[in-house]
Amino acid sequence: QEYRSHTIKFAATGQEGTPPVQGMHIFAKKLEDQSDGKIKVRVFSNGKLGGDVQVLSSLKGGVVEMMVWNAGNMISEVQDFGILDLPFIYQDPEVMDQLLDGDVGEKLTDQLPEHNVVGLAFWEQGFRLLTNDKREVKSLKDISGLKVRVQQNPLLVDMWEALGANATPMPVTELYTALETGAVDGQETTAPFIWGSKYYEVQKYVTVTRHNYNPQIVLIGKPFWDQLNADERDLLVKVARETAKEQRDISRKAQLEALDKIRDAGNVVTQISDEQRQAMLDAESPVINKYVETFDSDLVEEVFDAVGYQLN
Amino acid sequence: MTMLNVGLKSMRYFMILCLACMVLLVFANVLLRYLFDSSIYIAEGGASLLFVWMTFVGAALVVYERGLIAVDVVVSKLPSIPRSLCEILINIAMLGVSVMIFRGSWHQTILNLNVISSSTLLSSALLYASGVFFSIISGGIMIVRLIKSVSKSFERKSALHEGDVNHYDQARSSK
Amino acid sequence: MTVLLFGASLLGFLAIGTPIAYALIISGIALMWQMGLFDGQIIAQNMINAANSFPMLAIPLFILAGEVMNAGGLSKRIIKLAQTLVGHRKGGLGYVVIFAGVLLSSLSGSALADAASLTALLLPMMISAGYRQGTSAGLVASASIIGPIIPPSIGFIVFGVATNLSISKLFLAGIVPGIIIALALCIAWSIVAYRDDLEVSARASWSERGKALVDGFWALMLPVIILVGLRFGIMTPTEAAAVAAVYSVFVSCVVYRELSLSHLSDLAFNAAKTSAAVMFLVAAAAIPAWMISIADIPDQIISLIEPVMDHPKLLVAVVVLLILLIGTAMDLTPTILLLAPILVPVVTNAGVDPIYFGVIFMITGAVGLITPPVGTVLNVVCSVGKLDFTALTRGVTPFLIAELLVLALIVMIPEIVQVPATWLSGK
Ligand code: NA
Ligand code: NA
Repeated sequence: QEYRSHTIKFAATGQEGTPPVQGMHIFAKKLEDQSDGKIKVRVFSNGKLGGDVQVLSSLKGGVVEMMVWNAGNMISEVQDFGILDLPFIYQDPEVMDQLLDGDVGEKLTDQLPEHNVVGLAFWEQGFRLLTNDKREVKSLKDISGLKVRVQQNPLLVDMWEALGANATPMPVTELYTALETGAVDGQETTAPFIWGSKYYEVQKYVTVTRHNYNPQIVLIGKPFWDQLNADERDLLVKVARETAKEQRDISRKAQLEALDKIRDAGNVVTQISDEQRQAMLDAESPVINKYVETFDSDLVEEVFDAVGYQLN
Repeated sequence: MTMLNVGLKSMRYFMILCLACMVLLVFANVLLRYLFDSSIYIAEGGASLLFVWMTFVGAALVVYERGLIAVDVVVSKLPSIPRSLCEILINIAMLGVSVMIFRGSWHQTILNLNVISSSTLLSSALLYASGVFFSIISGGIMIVRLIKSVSKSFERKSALHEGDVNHYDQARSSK
Repeated sequence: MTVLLFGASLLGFLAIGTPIAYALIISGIALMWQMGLFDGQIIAQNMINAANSFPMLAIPLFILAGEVMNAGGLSKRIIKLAQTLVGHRKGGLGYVVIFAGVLLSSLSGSALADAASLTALLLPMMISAGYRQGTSAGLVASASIIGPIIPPSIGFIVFGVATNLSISKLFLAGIVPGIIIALALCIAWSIVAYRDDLEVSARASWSERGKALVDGFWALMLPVIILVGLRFGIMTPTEAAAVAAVYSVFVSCVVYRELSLSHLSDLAFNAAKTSAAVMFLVAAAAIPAWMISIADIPDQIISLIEPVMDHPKLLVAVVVLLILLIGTAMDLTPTILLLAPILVPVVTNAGVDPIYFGVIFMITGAVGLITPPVGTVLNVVCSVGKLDFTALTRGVTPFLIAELLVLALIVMIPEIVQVPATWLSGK
C-alpha cells in the first residue's frame, strides 16, 4: 500500500468526552497506526474551528478536511437525510446499524459527492431525551404547553408542536441561561450532552422519551478526497467503519452512565411506557406524512419496512 | 445627483431598513410569545442575516469615510514623504485583503448556492454574498485611493526642492 | 516562531497606521502563509460567521436604544436625577458609571454589550458634564469588564462547559470579586477625580430630587424592564435589547415628544454605522483566533510552566501572567476555549481549587479586554464613543492598575473568593 503524508483537521462542536468526540480520537489513533504514521489526524472539538454549518462549508471549500455531526442535519444539502430525524419510529439501535451500514446508508451517502462532501461512515450520538423543570412528564398530555428549546430545523419544530409543546428555537449558547432563568421550561438532547452541558443543574425532570435517534455522519471534504490515492481512500473508509463499531459501543454505554450520573445529581428520571410512546408516535403521524412526501419513496419503504412502521 | 451620491444614499437606506427590520423581528417575537404562545420561525436567523449585511455594507461605508479605528501615534510623527509611503503601503495591503475576501467569499457563495439554511429557509449563498459586496466596494475604494496618492506623489516629486530632499534623507538616517 | 510572526505583523502594521481591523486580518494572513494554509475562504468564512450571531445582535440594538435615549430626552432626565442625587459629590457621574456597570453586568453576560450600552448611554453625559473624555471612557471600559465576572456570564458558561465545572458554582463565585472590583474602581476614581478638581454642583433639595425622580420615571423604567425581563426569564439579552430600543422610541416620540420620525432615521443610521464598525473588528479578530487554534500555540506555552508545579500560588501567578499576555492580543471567548481546557487540569493537579481558578481566569481574561494592542472592549468604547484609541489607553490606565491590584490580592489570598463562594452555594 502506498500512503503519503497527510494531516487531517477533524472538527466537531461536541465537547471532549462526548461519544462523537471519543470516536474522533479513536479514529485518529487507528488511522495513524494503520498508515504507518503517515496520515495524522488533529482533533478539534468544542467548535474550535467554528459552528457546524461553517465547518461543513469549510469542508466543501477544502479549508478543513473532516467533521462529524448529526446525519439528519444533512437535510440542508440532501432532502433525503431528513428521514433520519423522523420522530419516535427508530427505537432499536441495532436495526439502525444494519440500515446505515447497508443499503440505506449507501443510498444517502451516494448523493453527497455532488455537494462536495463524501460520507465515510455512520457513528452515533444516541437517543434524545426531554428535560424540563415544570413537571414530571409521564405521558403525551404532560408535554402540552411546555416551552421547549428545539434545534433550528422545520421538521423538528413541527414535531414538537405536534406533541403540544411550544417549540422555541434558540442558539445553544444561550440555552443554559434560558433554562436557568426560565425563559424556556425545557430542552431535548442526549444523556451525555445533558451531563456534559450541565443542563441537569437547571432542570428537575428527565424523561426517557427517545423521540429522536441521532446517527452521526463522518464527512470528508471532496477537495481533500480528490487529492487522495485509492489506497488512502480505502484506508480512510475502512478505519472510519472500524471506529463505528467501537464508537457505537462507547456511545451506548455512555447513554446509561450519563443517565445514572444525572439521577445521582438529583434529577427525577422517568421512563415512559410503550403505550405512551405509541401515543406520541400517533400524534406525530401528520408530521411524518407531511415530510415523507419530500423523501425518495423507495428509501421510505425500505426504512419503514425495517423499523416496522406503517404510514396511515 | 452623481452616481456616488446615489450609491451612498442607497447604502444608508439599506442599513436603516436592516436595523428597523432587526428590531421589529426580535420585538415581535417577544410579543408573539407572550400574547399568542407562538413565534416567527425565521425571526432569529432572519435578523442575524440582516445583521451580517448591515455589518458589511456599513463596514464598506466606514472604510469609505476613513472611520475605522487606527493607532496613529507613530505615523503622525513622520515627515510627509515617508508618511505618504506608509499610506500607499497600507492601501496596497488593504487592497490585497479585499482581493482575498473577494476570492474567499465568492468561492463560498458558489458552494452554498443550493444549500438551504435551516434558520432562514433561504440559500446560504446570501450570507456569503455580503463578503462579495464588501470586497468589491472596499477594493474599489483602495484602487481609487492608490491612483490618487500615486499621481499626487508624482506631482510632489516634480515640485520637490533640494531642501526637502535633504530633510527627507535626514529623517531617514536618524531612524 | 508563530507567536513572533503574529505579534510582529500585527504590531508592524498597527505602527504604520493601518486600521486595527485590517491589521488583525493581515496578521491572520501572515499566519496562514506561514502555516501553508493561504486561502481567502478562511478569511471570508471566519469574518462572516463571526458576524452571523444572534447574541451579538444585542450590540446594534443597545446602541440604537442609547442613541434614541440621548436624542429623545431620556438620558437628560437620568443625568438630572443622578446630578441631584450624587452630583454634589466630587466626580458623582463616575460613581454612577460604576454603579450602572454593576447593574448592567447583572443583566448581561458580555462585556462587549455592556461596553456598548454604557458608552452610548453614559459617556456623552460625562463629557457634557465637563469630565475629561479619555479618563471617563477609561472608567466606562474598566467598569464594563465587570460584565463577565458578575453573573450571568457567557464567559463562565463557556468556561464551565469547556472544563466540565459547575457553572452555577462559577456564577456564585463571581459575585463578590465583581463587587470588590467595583469598589476598587470607586477608590481609583475618587483619586482621579480628586486630582481633576472638577467643579461640583450645589446639593439639591429633596423637593428638587423628588421632581427629578418623577420627571425621570419613564427613563428609569427602562433598566427596570430589562432587569425584570432578564431576571425572571421573560427575555434573552438580545430580546431585552430590542425591547429597550422599542421602549426608548416609544417614550421619546410619544411620551416626551422630543423626537421626530425623520430624526429617528438619522439615529438609526448612526447606530447601524457604529455597530458595523464594532462588528467589523469582531469579525476581523476571528481570523487570527482561528489560526491560533490551528497553530496549537497554547500547547507550546504550557510546556514552559512545568517547573512551578510544586508551588500553587506561584503557579497561579505565572498562569495569570500568561493569560494576561495572551489576553493583550486575544478576545475573551477564544482565550477561554484555547487555554481553559489545558490549564484547569494543570492547576487542579497542583492542588488549586478549580472554581477559584475559574474566577481568576475570568478576571484576568476580562482585564485583557481593556489592554492594548487588541482590547475588544477598548475598540467598542472607541467606536461607540467616537474617540481616539491612544487617548482611551491612557485614560484606562489608573483603573487597569486598580483591577490588577484586586487580581494580585485574590491570587495571594484565595479565601476572598472561596469563602463567600462556599457560603453562597449553601454548603
Ligand atoms: Na454579567
Ligand atoms: Na487586550
